[in-house]
Amino acid sequence: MTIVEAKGISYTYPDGIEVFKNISFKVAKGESLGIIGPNGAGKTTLLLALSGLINNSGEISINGELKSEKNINDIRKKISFVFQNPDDQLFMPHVEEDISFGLSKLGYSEEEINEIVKRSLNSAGLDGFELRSSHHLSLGQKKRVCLAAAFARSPEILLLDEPSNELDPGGRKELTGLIKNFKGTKLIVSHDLNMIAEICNNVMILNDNIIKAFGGSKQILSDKKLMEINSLEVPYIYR
Amino acid sequence: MRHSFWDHFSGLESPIHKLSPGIKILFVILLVIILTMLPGYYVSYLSIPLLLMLITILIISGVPVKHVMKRTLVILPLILPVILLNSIFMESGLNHSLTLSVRSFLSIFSLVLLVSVTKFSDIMKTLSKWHFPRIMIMILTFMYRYFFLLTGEMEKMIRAVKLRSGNTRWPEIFKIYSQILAILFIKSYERAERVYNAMLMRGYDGNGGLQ
Repeated sequence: MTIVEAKGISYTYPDGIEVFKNISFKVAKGESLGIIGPNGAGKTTLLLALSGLINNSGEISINGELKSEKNINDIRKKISFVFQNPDDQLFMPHVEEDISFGLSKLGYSEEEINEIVKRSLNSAGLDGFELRSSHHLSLGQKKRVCLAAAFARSPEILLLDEPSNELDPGGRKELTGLIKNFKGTKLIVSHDLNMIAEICNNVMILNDNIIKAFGGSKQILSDKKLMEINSLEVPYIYR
Repeated sequence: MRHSFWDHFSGLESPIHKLSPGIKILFVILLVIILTMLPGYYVSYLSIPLLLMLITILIISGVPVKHVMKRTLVILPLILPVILLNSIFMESGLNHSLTLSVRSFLSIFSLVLLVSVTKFSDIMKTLSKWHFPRIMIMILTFMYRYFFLLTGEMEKMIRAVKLRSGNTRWPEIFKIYSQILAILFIKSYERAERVYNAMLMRGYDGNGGLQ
């Protein structure tokens, strides 16, 4: 069953630079799709378009519902977005307040919200972090709190923008495990091709405004020629 | 400069820290109102007893007097121009300026004392319980969350400039620093956009509420 469908979508920045032009793709429910490509290929912009944070042309359907201004709030309830910089995402001073932000409008009572906060922190390996200040956390902890906040909304689709960026190998390994454990649909934008190879079953290469390749993770990531012409390199596990 | 610059001691376990945040906030509001409304004549009489009272509270709380004094003196220069203008342009300017300095010093001292003995989140929760406008609470929360992040970014830019500017002289340094401020403004604007996007994704309606 298709959960994300993009039909002929295009986006041009206000300064006239075209990011992607007339691209179409489908993502099946439960699939993990890695979106890769060189810097400036429009990977993050594509995630912003899917979540309705920018106005693109073309059609985007989430779970069969065509995205429009009228239903964007309902669509966003199905999606959790983990942004690249955790300081942009953890906007409340304390971890508990941040994770519980917006949950009341999803119909949860106060007791349920407390329970969700505890459960989400537990699933991110952060038991007892409720009262910790967001700004006093390490980068790895901040990234995990972002994931916990994303899990708290029980999303059907998880959008991750460079989740392992700037993490040490230990933090990266922990984060990869947490993302892998999420059972829903995942769309991951990353330059960390080893992580993409580990998590994703499908991969899309975005470059020169179009989708250069879309298919099985192993098939694409192990294609040395394809990777090189798109300024990428074959991850270690496929060398 | 980090968050601990203000609230390093707010997690202590003294009797003052254990007092209800509401009582502490009310006390400070009352004190500031008294200091603002009282005629100058009374202020000069009350200033020493009030200062002694605040210092006594400070000693009971276990927060070092130096900590509060240092932070009070950081803010005080911001009102210095007002005091100076008063002494120049008003009749009985010197007396008026002295009273104004005392009022300002004691008000800021009590506010710094409040944030030193009460956790910021407790202050915000209390204001929220008192139906303080939600948008104001969000602004205060964001200021607390992002002010030090931005000053950190500015410190990094200044460090980068210092490393590359060599023996640059004053007029040029002034130009460079104004450019740093402009870049910081653009960076803050862009960050605000990203934070707003993150909020939208979690149900924020753009008007201080949720949808």
